[in-house]
Amino acid sequence: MAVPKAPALKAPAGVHAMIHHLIQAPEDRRLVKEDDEALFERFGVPAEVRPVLHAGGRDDIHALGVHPNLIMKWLIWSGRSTIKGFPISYYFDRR
Amino acid sequence: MGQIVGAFATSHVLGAPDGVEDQAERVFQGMREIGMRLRALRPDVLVVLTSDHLNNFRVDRPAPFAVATDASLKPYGDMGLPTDPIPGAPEFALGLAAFCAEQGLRVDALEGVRPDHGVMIPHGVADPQRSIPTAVFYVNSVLDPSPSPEVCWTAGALLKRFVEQRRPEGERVALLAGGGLSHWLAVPEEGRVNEPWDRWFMDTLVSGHAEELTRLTNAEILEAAGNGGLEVAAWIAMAGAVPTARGEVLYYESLPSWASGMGGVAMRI
Repeated sequence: MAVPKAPALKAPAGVHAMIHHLIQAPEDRRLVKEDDEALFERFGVPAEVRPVLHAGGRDDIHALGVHPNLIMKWLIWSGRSTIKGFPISYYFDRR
Repeated sequence: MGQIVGAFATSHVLGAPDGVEDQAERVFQGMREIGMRLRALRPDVLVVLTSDHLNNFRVDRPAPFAVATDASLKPYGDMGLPTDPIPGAPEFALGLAAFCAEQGLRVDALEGVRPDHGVMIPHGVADPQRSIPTAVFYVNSVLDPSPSPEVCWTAGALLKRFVEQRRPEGERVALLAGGGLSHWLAVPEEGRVNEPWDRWFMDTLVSGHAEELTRLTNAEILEAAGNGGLEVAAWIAMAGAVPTARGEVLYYESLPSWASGMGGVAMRI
């Protein structure tokens, strides 16, 4: 899960800071589903990209220039992950 | 002087087994084989070389190389991974960072690191009892700049010299690199796997001529193996620490439903 160079440099204002905050503040992640506008306001996310973050798919968000690793987290917290989940115990119980 | 007694590399993720049960099992058993071989070497220190996934680093604060310096490391717990602490190896980690700095390679020394799946899946399979002091050596391919294969090779060479020149007599050190192989994540190409490239990469790594991989550029890896493929930087760093070793491929599976080529190797020391 690495990154091309350009997207990290051109992400809309506030988006990377918002997701980095959520990485460190798991208690705020519920806002992604319940009140993402509050997050957008808090981090100054431009109005024109908010609909994409709210309902857009992986490729739509990628087109904004958001870092791929941060896209993955945002999609997971918003219930739109493109990678199927599973219980790690399926493997780890048999180590 | 210390001694590198084992060197391994493996993809550092697992995925949903649904519909790919046989492949998933071969991957898991391949990882288990690596773990069993590693534990049989009775290492005093385990060095895990891997990339973080922006759980401990920020896009605006690049750190191509870093070590975790806490005596006890509490995992981040992504992917539902257990968060029971693992023993760190602070003296080793701080010494490695200082030695690399002396040799002109910046390696950040960080407190409070919470290792994510990049560390904890390979580590969790290799050391289920969480008993081996572990030095996490980040080779961060998610940040800009991502270290080049040539620099990663140099980092591995410095790790070897550090073990041989600065560590206590008789100390046994095992290396476990994590990441790769080809995968494109959170980009339109997600789900693509480049099996021919993966097999070429692993075959070259274990050929006894792994230094050939330093001719690669990150742009070439990005094109052939995707944004996630850049994680092979950690494999190259591992190989740089055992530069003439041959090895064997222990497993490989192309798993588009996991969005990843999955592989693992063991070097003969």
